[in-house]
Amino acid sequence: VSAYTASLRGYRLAALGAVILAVLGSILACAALAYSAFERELRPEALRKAETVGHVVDALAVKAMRYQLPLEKLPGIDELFDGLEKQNPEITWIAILVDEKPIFARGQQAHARLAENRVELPLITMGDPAVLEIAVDPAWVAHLFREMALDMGVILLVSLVISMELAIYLTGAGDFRSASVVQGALHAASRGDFRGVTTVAAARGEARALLSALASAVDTLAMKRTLLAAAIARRWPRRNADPREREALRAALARLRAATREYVLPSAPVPDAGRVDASNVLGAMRAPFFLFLFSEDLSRSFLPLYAGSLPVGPFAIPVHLVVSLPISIFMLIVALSQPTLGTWSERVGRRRAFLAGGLVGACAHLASAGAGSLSELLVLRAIAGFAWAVAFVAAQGFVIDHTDRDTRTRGLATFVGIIMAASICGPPMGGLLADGLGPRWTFAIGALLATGATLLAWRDLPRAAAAKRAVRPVRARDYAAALANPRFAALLALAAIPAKVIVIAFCFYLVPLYVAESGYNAAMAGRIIMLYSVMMVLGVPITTEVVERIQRARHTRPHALFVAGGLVVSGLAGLLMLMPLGLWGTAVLVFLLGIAQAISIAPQSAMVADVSSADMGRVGESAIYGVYRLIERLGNAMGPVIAAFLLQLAGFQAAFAAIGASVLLCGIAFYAMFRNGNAPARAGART
Amino acid sequence: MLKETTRSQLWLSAWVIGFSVAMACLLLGFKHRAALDGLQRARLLLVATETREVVERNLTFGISFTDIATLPDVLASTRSAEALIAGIDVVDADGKAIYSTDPTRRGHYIEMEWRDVMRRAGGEPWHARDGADAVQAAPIRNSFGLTLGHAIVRYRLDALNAASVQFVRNLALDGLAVAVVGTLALFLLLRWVQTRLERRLARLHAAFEGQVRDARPGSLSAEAAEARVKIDEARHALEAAEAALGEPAGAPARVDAAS
Repeated sequence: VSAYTASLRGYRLAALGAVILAVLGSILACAALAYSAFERELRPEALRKAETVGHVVDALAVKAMRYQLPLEKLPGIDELFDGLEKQNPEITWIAILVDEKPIFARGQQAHARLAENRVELPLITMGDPAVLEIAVDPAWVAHLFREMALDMGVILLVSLVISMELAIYLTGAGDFRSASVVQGALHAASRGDFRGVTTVAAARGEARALLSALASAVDTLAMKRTLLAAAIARRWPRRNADPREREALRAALARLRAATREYVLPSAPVPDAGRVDASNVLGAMRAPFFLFLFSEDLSRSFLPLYAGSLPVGPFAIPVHLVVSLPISIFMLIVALSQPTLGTWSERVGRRRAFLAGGLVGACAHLASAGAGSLSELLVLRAIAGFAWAVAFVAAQGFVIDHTDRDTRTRGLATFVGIIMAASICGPPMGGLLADGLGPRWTFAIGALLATGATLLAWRDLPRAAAAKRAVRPVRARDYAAALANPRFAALLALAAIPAKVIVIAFCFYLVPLYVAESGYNAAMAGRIIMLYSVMMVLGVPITTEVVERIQRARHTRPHALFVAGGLVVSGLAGLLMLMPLGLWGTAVLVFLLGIAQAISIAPQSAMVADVSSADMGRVGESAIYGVYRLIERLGNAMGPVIAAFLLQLAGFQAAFAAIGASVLLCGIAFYAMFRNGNAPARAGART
Repeated sequence: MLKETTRSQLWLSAWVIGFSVAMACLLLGFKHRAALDGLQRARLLLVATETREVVERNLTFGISFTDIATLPDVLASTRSAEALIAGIDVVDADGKAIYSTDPTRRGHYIEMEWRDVMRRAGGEPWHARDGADAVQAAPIRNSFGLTLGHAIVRYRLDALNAASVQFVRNLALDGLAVAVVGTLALFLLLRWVQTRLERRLARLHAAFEGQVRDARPGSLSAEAAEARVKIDEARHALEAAEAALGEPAGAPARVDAAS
């Protein structure tokens, strides 16, 4: 990071720090206020439970009395105490006292010191009077709050992501945008590159004053240069008539050339860099699109469990297949509908297409909340998948319509960034809501969010979005032509499909079920799934940068190595589940899967153009990428079904390992096939 | 009327803090209810387990499941010992009440929703709720491990619901206060950052206008000063070309929209 880009970044970080501080402070304040209420209301209930536990021991003492057995010789007390301690973790001291001395005891006696923290029950005995003493852990409520710390952390992270989205929605990039333009403009001007100077017409305050002064000075240069060039051109025809004129023109031209060599002189007024930078080309589409994706991602952590809880009806379908179907149907509809939706969305306009997608999605979520059977849910998830595809294509088309060759890559990167941001926020929030309110209410909240997205789009999206160019839909012969290329087919079979199968099979299907099987709730599944998106968001820009650096430094395309590396790491993540790591294993698996996908996703996309360069002219780049996306998304649909089959056949560990091993082998085969095929870097190739 | 920046910052603060406080309060509300519910259910499971043990003890003595004469008294005394319990039923494997603290329930099947949950429980303790009524149950097995029936403790969720509503109401008020204070705090912090940024930009402006002489080399202020130097040099170069040509120097300056 150069000094000039870093110098004003501190203010952006300070603003982020302010948000973290305020959100953290607010969450802690809520927790602190709730703590005393928890103590006040839960401790008496815990003591009542301790009393009931006491009755179990009392029943044993009565039995001893009936058999005229001294309490000290009562068998099975130790085992009973062990069981009670295990089943009631809040009870940390349980003892039978005779003359205030314990004859049987478990736990920490110190916890029984406070009278308000223990219950005492007199026991009927053959000999001296005995008392049963049970104490509740004084730090029990604190333990409950410690258990909530992870959830609070998730709320903090999601709040930060949402605050960034909100900041962009409410202020564009605001003063930080102006500051960033100031930096760039000063840096360019200090090097004498006056064409690199830009301004922000909507800037405010000091930024506006500085940018105006700078632009004014550079505009003066532009004006002088223009006037000088005009004067030279006007007097040029007279150069042969008057020797003094010729000498003056020669001297002026020499000085102008010298100045042009020394500086990049401006030829036009300083351009406006715009209220938002190229990374925010989504503009008005950003907030509705984020909200819409968020509404769909809410169900990621609990959908398999919800499907499993619904009556199957007369169909004799294995339970593991039942729970995989809603995800597979969703993905299948997305895959099949996208190729035709592109041209439709262009014809009706991005705004109308997005509104239709949002509205249908909201209805599908609301109806999913009331689904009475698996077949109903499958139909509704298919409709939701269609709505998602409509909204996705409309948003993607919006980016394409509002970007040019120079800004499209960055625009699409922002588009992917929003998808990732929604996938960070959706699963953990959905898990939290599902645990508290239940899956049906969480679907209803999803419907509310999708409605909000539709309303925002209705208010903010421009009404007339004229089509820039007609895109030819992908036809069957395009598929045949593209797939006839063995290297393209190998890229799909060995990299694109396995990469999608493993992500969807693990993150959307096996992990939520495994977490539930291990006795944890949907919120835990959501938190673990979130790791994948976090690693993707952090990893993709780093990978892109590294690939570009290697490309520049060595003049080779290292993409195949990155793709194979990603597949191998994905495969190893699956094999990791053979180790007895329990829930930690799942977290590490998802973490590694996020890294693996971050390594391979962008290079894999770029390789499509490399391996199909011969077909590009004949079939067209759009058609090639259309085929690639369709096949890739069919991998999405296959993932849960393959996982369900393996789970039904051999259980969790074998399902994770089998998929992992297959992907690992694909990675090795892919590298063997493509390692020598790294073409020299071509200008304009996608990275 | 608030300036646009101020209004945006206030909205941003309110939304971000409002969202995080609302989610934190929701989480606390869920946790409070789950903890209270868990304690009640665990307590009532102990009661159901005790009842089951009484039945199973009688079965080991060879007494038929339907002929345990002492059971109604045991059920009545257990029920009276615990205010939360609305009733205790001992049902057969089909869900028909053989014994009950409520005489009108004897010989009748328990509610259909509960029977569904009972069938799905697969011989494990189970819990079901139907509106404000809930049950906690433990399966009764004979010495061969065959499930003969279930000991079911019925209870009302009114107390739990009332405690949860009260907690959420209090927390909502506290949350509102926290949200207001948090919003103001974040707004002030953002204002502070913005003020510092404005000052820094003002210093850069001064450096650009040549009013700062001791800018640290490599700093942005030094770049601002250097930018002015380069602009002046370029202007002098162009003016020198104009002078060589004999054309008048100068050009209209850019009209600042702010002025």
